[in-house]
Amino acid sequence: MAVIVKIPTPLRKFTDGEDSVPVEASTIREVLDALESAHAGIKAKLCDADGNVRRFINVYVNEEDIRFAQKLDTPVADGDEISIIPAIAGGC
Amino acid sequence: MVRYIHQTDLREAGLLEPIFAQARDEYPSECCGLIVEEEGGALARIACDNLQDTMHASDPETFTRTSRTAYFIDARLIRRHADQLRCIYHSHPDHGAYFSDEDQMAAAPFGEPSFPGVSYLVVSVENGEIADSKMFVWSDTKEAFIPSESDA
Repeated sequence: MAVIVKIPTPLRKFTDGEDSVPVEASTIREVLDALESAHAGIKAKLCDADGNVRRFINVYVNEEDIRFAQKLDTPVADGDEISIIPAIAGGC
Repeated sequence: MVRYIHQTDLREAGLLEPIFAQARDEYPSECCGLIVEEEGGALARIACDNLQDTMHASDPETFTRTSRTAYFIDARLIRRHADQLRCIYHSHPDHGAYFSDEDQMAAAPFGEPSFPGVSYLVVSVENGEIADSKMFVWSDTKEAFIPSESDA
């Protein structure tokens, strides 16, 4: 399945400045692995040591937050747009 | 050279008092919102729902806090307004106007700002009344958000 991954500004140094990159994958886990294969070092920015997406990173499949789907096992389909969006969050 | 938005800009645009009103209204929860630059250069406020309680309810192990001490903005809003974003604001109910470790981690999860050139306003609300407010900007030398020297 070919999907397009939208890359946030601070991570474009891993993608030669590209704001979106294509990858072949059928789940979000495979998307992240494919990103790492093509753009070494990017996965460590997105995932913690256990491989889970970091708390302050949002990953969307089209309009759906993977937290409210199947997280890393969320399926992706041909033509889907995967958005990596830094969170706007915090607290006292 | 980045030209950050400061409190004087918000005051002159008539946006600072509405932010304070929102912080009072939503006390004792944290309020949050965005300041965007519209076509033509005018600043506008987008008051956001604080989704922290939803995040906490769905995944309390990851999102340990409630809206009493944390905020979380809908990522779809961020995606929609990312190119216009100039400032992000939130309140600290019964806490000071400082940029907490949690704020730092969220604003620079990659070790640099998620939104370059965007400043952060923190409003302290004590017992339901505005006690203080401070603007924070990124420092390349300190690799952290620090109080804006131009704050007023």
